[in-house]
Amino acid sequence: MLVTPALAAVTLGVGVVAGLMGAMLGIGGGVFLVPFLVLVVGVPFKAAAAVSLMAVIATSTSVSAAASSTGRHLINYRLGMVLEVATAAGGLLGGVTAHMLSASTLQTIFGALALVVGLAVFRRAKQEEPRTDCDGDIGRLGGRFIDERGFEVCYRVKRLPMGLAVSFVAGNISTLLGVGGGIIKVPVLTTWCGMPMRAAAATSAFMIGVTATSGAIIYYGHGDLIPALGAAAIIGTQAGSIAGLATSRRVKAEGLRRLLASVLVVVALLMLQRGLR
Amino acid sequence: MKDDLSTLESLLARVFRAGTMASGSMLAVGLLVSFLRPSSHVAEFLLGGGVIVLLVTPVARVLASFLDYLWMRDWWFALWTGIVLALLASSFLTALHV
Repeated sequence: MLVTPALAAVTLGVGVVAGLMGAMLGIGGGVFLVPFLVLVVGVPFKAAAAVSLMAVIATSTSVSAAASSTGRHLINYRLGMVLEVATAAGGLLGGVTAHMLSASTLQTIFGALALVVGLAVFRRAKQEEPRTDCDGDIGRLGGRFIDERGFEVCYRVKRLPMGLAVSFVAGNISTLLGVGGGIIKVPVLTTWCGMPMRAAAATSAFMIGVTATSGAIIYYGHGDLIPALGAAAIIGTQAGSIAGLATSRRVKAEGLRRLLASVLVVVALLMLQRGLR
Repeated sequence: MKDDLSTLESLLARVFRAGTMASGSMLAVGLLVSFLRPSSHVAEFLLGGGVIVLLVTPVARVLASFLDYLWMRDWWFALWTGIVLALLASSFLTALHV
C-alpha cells in the first residue's frame, strides 16, 4: 500500500487524538485508530490492528516515561503486573474466542459491556476519590502517590477478582479487535476497585503497552504492519501524549471521569452499531 | 519500600525515555526519507529499526522490573513479573516461527 504524505499527515493527526486521550485517560486510542484506518482509509483489518497496537505501545511508553519521571509514584507497578497476567492469559485464549464467536458477536458483547460500564461511570462521576489513611495498612497491592497539590494519597485495592476478570476480558479482545483494553480497565479500576482516577489511568497506560506488545509482535512477524503508516501513527501518538499530560494536570478528577464516561458511551454505541449491522 | 519503589521507578523511567526517544527519532527521519527517496534502503532500515526499538521497550521494562524484584528478594512479585515476561517471550517465539 502506497502511503502518501497526505495520508501520513491525516494518520498522524488521528494519532495525536489517540495519544491525547491515552495520556489523560489511560487508554491507548486503538478504539479510534482501527475504525479510522479500516473505514476511512480502507486498510485491511489486520494491517489496521498492527498499526493500532504499535500506536498503543507508543502511548504507553510516552505516558509511562513521563509518569515515572515525576517522582509522584502514580503507576502501581505491583497491581499492574498482577492484572497483566490475567490480561496475557485472556490474550492467549483470544484465538479460542475467535473460533467460538464471530467478530460481530464480539463487537456486540464488547459494546454492551462498555455501555453498562460507561453509564455506571457517569452515575458515579461526582463521587469522592477513594483514599485510605496513609498510616494504616494499604495492603499488598495498594498504592501511595503524590497528588497534583503535593499531598500524599493512599488507597487500598478492592474487589481484586473483578479487576482480574475485566483484565482477562480486556486481554481477550485486545488482539482480536486491535485495541489495548484500557478503555474497559480504567473505569472498572476507578469505579469498583478503589483506585483514584489518576493512578488508575497511569497504571492502565503502563499495562496496555505490555498487552499490545504480545499482539503487535505477532502481527509484525506476519508482515501485516505497513511501516510508513505505523510511523505516522506512532509519531502522532507520541506528540499527543505529551500534550495530553500537560492538559491532564489542569483537569479535575471528576472532569476526567466524565470525559472517560463520554468516550466509553460513544465507543460502545459505535461497537454496537457495527456488531448489530 | 518507598526507596525500593523510587529506585525501580527511576530505572524504568530511563528505559521508557530511551525507548521513546530512539524510536520516535528513527521513525520521524525514516518517514521523511521515505517521501524524499521512496526506494531508499535507509528509509526501510530506519522505519524497521524504529518499530523494533518500540516493540522491545515494553519487554525491556518488564525485564528490568523482574530483575529488580529478584534483587529486592520480593519473590511473590518476581513470580508474577516472570510469568508476564515468559508470555511475552512466547509471543516473540510465535512470531519467529510463522
